[in-house]
Amino acid sequence: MAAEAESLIPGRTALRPPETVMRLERMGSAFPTRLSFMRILVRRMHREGWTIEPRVFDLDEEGFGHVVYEAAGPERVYSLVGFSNALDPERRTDRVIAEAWDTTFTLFDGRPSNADIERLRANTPRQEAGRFGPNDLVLSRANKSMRLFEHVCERLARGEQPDRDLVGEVGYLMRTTAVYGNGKFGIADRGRIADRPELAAPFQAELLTVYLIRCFTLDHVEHVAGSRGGRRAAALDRDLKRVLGIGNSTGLGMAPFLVTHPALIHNWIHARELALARVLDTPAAPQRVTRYRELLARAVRHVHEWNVEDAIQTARIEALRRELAALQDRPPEPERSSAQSWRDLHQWTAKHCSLETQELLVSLLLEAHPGRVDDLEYNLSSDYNERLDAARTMGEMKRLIDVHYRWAMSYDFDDPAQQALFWYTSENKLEPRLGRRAREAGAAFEMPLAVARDVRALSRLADEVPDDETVAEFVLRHPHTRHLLARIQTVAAHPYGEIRDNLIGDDCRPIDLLRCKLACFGAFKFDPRSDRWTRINLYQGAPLADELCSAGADDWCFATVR
Amino acid sequence: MHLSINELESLTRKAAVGAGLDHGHAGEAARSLLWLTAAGSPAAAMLVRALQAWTGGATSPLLCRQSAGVCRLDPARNRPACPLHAAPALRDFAQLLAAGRYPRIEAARVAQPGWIVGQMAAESWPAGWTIHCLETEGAAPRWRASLTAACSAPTVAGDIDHPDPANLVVTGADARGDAQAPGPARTLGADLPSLIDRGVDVDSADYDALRHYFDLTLVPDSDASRRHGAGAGLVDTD
Repeated sequence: MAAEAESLIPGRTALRPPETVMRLERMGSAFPTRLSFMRILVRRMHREGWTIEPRVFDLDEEGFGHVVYEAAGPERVYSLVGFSNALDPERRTDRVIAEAWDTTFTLFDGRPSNADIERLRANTPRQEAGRFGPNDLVLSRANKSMRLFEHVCERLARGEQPDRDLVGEVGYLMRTTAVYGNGKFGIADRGRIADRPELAAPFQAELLTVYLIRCFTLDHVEHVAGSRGGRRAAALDRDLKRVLGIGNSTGLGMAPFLVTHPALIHNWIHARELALARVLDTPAAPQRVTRYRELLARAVRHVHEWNVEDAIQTARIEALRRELAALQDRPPEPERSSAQSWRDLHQWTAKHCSLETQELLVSLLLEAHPGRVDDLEYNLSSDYNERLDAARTMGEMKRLIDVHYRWAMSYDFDDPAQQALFWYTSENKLEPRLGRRAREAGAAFEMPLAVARDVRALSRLADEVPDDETVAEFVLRHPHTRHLLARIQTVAAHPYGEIRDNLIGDDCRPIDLLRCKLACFGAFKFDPRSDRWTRINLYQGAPLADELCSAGADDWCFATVR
Repeated sequence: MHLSINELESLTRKAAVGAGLDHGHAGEAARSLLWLTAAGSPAAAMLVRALQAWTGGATSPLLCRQSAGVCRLDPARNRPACPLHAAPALRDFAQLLAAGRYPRIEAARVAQPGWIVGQMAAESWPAGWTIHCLETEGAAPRWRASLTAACSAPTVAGDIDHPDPANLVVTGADARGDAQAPGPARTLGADLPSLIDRGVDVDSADYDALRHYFDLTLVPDSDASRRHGAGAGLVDTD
């Protein structure tokens, strides 16, 4: 049954409405779920028996040189071509405007020839300044964690394991600072690969790249340690390897995507909400309750190991810890579960707990019910084409605005605080930035992310025309409203696709946008460094390359070091 | 310059914004360009000419007038209509044709009228309509484009690449029944899948011109912007 139709069946638990879930504060409290894109990829690799091998590992004693990692599925092979080089610490930065990195990568479609590798050697280290072709699927780069990389190398070289707490605290040996796909810098357009089953779900090529980079970083650190320590050097313990994911530094570049792709975002969020509604409709069977309590205990340990410097996030984590402890004392329990159990639990958290706890519970509930959730992974893509229906009347548009954008009418845009910010693209390497309208130049070039303000203005214009005026006639007189009217029609059909907050207000925290998208990707350990960028961990706890076929390959959420 | 489809779409959309078009019309221009490129038309050059004419004041937006039940889209000022505005407007009003509100639409003096055919392919025109491109009323059409099924590629006869302004008439499929066909018919956009597969070659002069407009959407870098705009430091602290 189509997901949209399923959500309307009488008697079913209603989905949490967009007015509730598409608020920045809740989006900024999101956790990964079974429907996160990394989980989908690893499940597929497990199900299909993928193999991952380093086909070329040509690194000198310091770990500089090139590698080729091959990921083989049942139908196709993908190769990560990587280059590692020395980097002056003064040049090491997470910013888009960086011009050099410790390592750079391209995901190649198939097996690269020697000529392909030489072409990539000339271009991959240049990243945005290079040019790529239709067999190059993803472009990325990663920098070492200076806190952890040297520590691990040194200890392994001496034949010892690294400090477990430090490994848990940092969580990665390297950190990606960009992962580009879909045609950027000449690489393959998504349309070229989207009909491949293994790449059909969102961002699968990008996340395969990150998984392979993780494989590389684990081999790389052992290689360097082995060069230093010779026969004395130790291999990294397997359980520590699993704790090491790939860090990522996420800034404003990711934020506009959540605004400019409403149909796609709707599908991501709607799938999650439908999964939750299904679980809340499910009687709490003893084995599901046992599983839920196992996951809850794991989440408690995971959150105990989640420590950040940001004061706001620290306060949230402390509240989360207290509330998780309270959850552990609450039903359901296997012997005393009932048909109402999940719903009661969910309602209790909605009344008594912070948003972080509410959203973590959503993750736990979905995790405990794979049979009710996993089929929805096929609902996450979108081929919707946003086209203006110009035959509609302005009366209809006014009704759509009233239904879907009443929230935007509550803002007073004569108040400078409600228009304090503007989003723009810097001429320096096209880096997305956020400016203060009153103090900085460039507002004339702002990106069209001020949806609340612009719909408010459109609403005032629409009030001046008769209801039977057509959209065609209105847009001819007000051409600047074309994209907004098309958007309103799109959101009417995709209500979870609109963020119901003012994205240019003084109190807007862009990091809430970033966390929502990163949770959809599957990232944990959000570590905000400001309200505009965060570090995260991808694939922490994920099976290693030689564990993809093992029985527990899909059970790696809420990873812990102890 | 060899570009991926995504690069071409992004470049043209932002170039159109840099030239002063609103985001909606810019997005439609980018989609039309893709279809015209797939059809083998010099679409990038057409877009550059259209943007230069728009920024130079040589073309005009449109007004809607109704005369004897016919919908007329005329240039608002005494100069040819900008094709980047005319194309979406014609599509919008074609939807009113399909709803039975008008028997035909006429658009006068549209610059680079072939641009409209790209819009027809890209933007889900209603099926069963034909656009006739006429030098003057009653003359043989310079070209004709028809959609027989919704969301399909249009069938075109004649030279859509001719840049001179002309009048456009949108009617039912066989309303004009001209004995003088403007040339053999061909299907537009048949090459789109291979374009996605291999990318597009854009003439370097056209690329530079589009890039000039694109760069107008960028905010000049400053020390304050570099330090505070992105939220992250300039040197790694990890």
